[in-house]
Amino acid sequence: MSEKSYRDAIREAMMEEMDRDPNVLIMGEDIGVYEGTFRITAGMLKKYGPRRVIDTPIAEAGMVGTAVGMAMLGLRPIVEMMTVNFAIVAADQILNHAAKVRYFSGGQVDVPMVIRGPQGAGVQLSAQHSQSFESFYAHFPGIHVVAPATPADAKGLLKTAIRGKDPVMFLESAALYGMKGEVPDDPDFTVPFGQSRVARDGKDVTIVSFSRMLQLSLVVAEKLSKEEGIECEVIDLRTLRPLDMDPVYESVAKTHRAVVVQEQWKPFGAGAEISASITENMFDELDAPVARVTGEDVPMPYARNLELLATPHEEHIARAVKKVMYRS
Amino acid sequence: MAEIIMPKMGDAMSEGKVVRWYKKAGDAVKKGEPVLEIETDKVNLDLEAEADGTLGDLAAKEGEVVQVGGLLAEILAPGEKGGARATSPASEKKEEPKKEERRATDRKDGVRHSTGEYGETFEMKGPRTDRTQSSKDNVVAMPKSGSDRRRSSPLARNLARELGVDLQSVEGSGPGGRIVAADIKGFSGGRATSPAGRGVSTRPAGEAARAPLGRAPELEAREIPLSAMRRTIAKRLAESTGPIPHFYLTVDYDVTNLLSMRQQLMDIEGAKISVNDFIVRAAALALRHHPNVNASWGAEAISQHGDVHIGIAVATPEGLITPVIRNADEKSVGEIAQEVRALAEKAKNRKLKPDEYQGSTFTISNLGAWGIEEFTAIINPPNSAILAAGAAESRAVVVNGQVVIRERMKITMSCDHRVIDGASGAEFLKTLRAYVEQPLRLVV
Repeated sequence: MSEKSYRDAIREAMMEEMDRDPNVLIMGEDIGVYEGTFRITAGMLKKYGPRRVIDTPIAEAGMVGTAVGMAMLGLRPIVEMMTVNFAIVAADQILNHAAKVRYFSGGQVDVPMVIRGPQGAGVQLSAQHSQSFESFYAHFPGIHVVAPATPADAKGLLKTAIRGKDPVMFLESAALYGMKGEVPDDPDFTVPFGQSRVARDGKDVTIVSFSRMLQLSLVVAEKLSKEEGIECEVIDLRTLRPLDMDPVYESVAKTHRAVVVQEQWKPFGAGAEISASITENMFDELDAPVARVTGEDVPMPYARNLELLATPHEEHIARAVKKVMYRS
Repeated sequence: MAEIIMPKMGDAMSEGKVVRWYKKAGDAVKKGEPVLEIETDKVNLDLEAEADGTLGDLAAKEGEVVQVGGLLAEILAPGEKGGARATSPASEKKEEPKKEERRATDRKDGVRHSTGEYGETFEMKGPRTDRTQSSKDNVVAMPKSGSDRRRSSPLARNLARELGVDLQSVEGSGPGGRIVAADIKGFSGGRATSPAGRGVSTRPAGEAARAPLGRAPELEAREIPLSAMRRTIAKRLAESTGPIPHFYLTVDYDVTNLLSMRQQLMDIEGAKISVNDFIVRAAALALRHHPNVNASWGAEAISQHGDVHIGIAVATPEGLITPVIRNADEKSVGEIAQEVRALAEKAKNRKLKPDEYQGSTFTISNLGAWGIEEFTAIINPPNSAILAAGAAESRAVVVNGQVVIRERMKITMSCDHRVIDGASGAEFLKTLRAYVEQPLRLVV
């Protein structure tokens, strides 16, 4: 184990896989010479050369389409999106091609590729560049959606994504890039998809989250424990597709109340899917309606004070926890 | 024209509630076909059509309470018109909140959709409730509509069902009066686990004498909140026969084996052991199978006791007193014998301390020594029952078609009808029979 930032963990995962497998390559905007807008790819061009670290034009549909072709022919491309928002331009390539080639080919052709990049708010990138896309991509069959909350998971899940045979939307949190945490040194350390983890044990309320909101939930859980004696069990979903709800159900069977926290807008978000699944499967265990904590239903403002107002805050989560405990 | 009216199901019934209509106005009905379900304070039942015809307007909505004799619906013969008795003067309806008007686009008339009329989908009824399901699922009264619907969380409903708590009697602490799990737990004395483990006590009565009783189950102190039905029973019976409405159940046990065992025990122990000491142990063990008998009436709840403390009626020159054998179910017949002797001695010398004659959960009175064949005893409050044991006597009885001489003993149990019903008292006596007639059960 050694302490690493989320950013370094992602770079390390890519470089270890590029060392291990010559078919792995990365392409994206300003990832080579400039070393990446968020410095994820620092040092990679120098080490692997321009055939495996490819600076592309500003043409996301072209990048992804190229990568789909590479993957169909046996390479394992990683496409870096400067932010995941830009992948909307390539949505047809992702959703209608990458996600469907195996199906259309009757299982003959796999598309082992990773599209990764930062998403989410918190770094003053305004309305077009602060959005979260997990529910958008997780809606479609044929593609995995990953949203790590810790440096260790970022590394372990990215390695699983690169080694797998399916297209993966790897959604990093821009606000977590500087976050540090223990990361296993073993180059074969991976985290499988579809295994939610209990990030904190508790008995009173189940908080379900992922990515940056998972970290916020943990902060609130500690605070509530210290100040109010409320013990929240916090579940980190890690992957939205495949979605592993079993630990959530087990937890709700114990706590009888659940709060789902997401940064996205509320309507049709991941929280809607999660809370509906809890209600469908654990109805008889619930002592309160499942509560959702979400971002405000507005385009993300640029101004710092307004951005803070539009994203979920500790107080929102604490309030929701107390609400499902009938303590508000 | 035939009318369907709210029937009077017993003297006590003054009104009934419409639970659900199986038919709607204008539907054809056949004689004998169920038309609606009603709920009285005791049962739910279906009302059937008394004639063939077409159902007229429904005079009461689901959830509505209608006085006995009040009109529910008319069954019209061909060509007949309804409304002869549009609203019964005897029917006193509780107003329901008005249903929200459908929006214009929902109305059948006018709006058409390319795939057909919108109205069709609104005419569709949900699947009818599966009435073949066990009635256990319906223990908690949840009216479908009307102002007396209690909001409650699914968990709270589950708990209420498990603990036998009537939601109508629980105050909800959640938003809008929602009953939540904490309210149920508070109501039932903090006990939130399922009583399903008490398998033996729910064993059908007839099996008790034959089947092995197994280890007498553990008891737990718990409050059984008074259901509406239980309150009604209590009120009506108390009005009729005084503060404790008694009823009596008499059994005639074969004590041949018990007397022989008593003789052997006395030979071994070299001490006097009375027949009553056996009855004390037998009753104590039987009570553990029937926590509903080891219980006390209260204004808000019936308390089932977690321990079995047997009071023994002892005659003293000053009068009757009932020293208590604590945890009699955990003591051997020999220990009970010793303790009874010591307490009776103290009683006669007026040396009993309060904790030696208070706190019984059940009482036994035995006049066998006076040659009384059978008698009825008055319940010792706050107990819910008392056993009156008569003398063990040789009597001619018929066994396998032969008249034989057996030792027999008559026992009469007086029961508090507010707490114990006839069948549950009888079940207890069935279990007691197993212990008394096969006294080896008292030592294994």
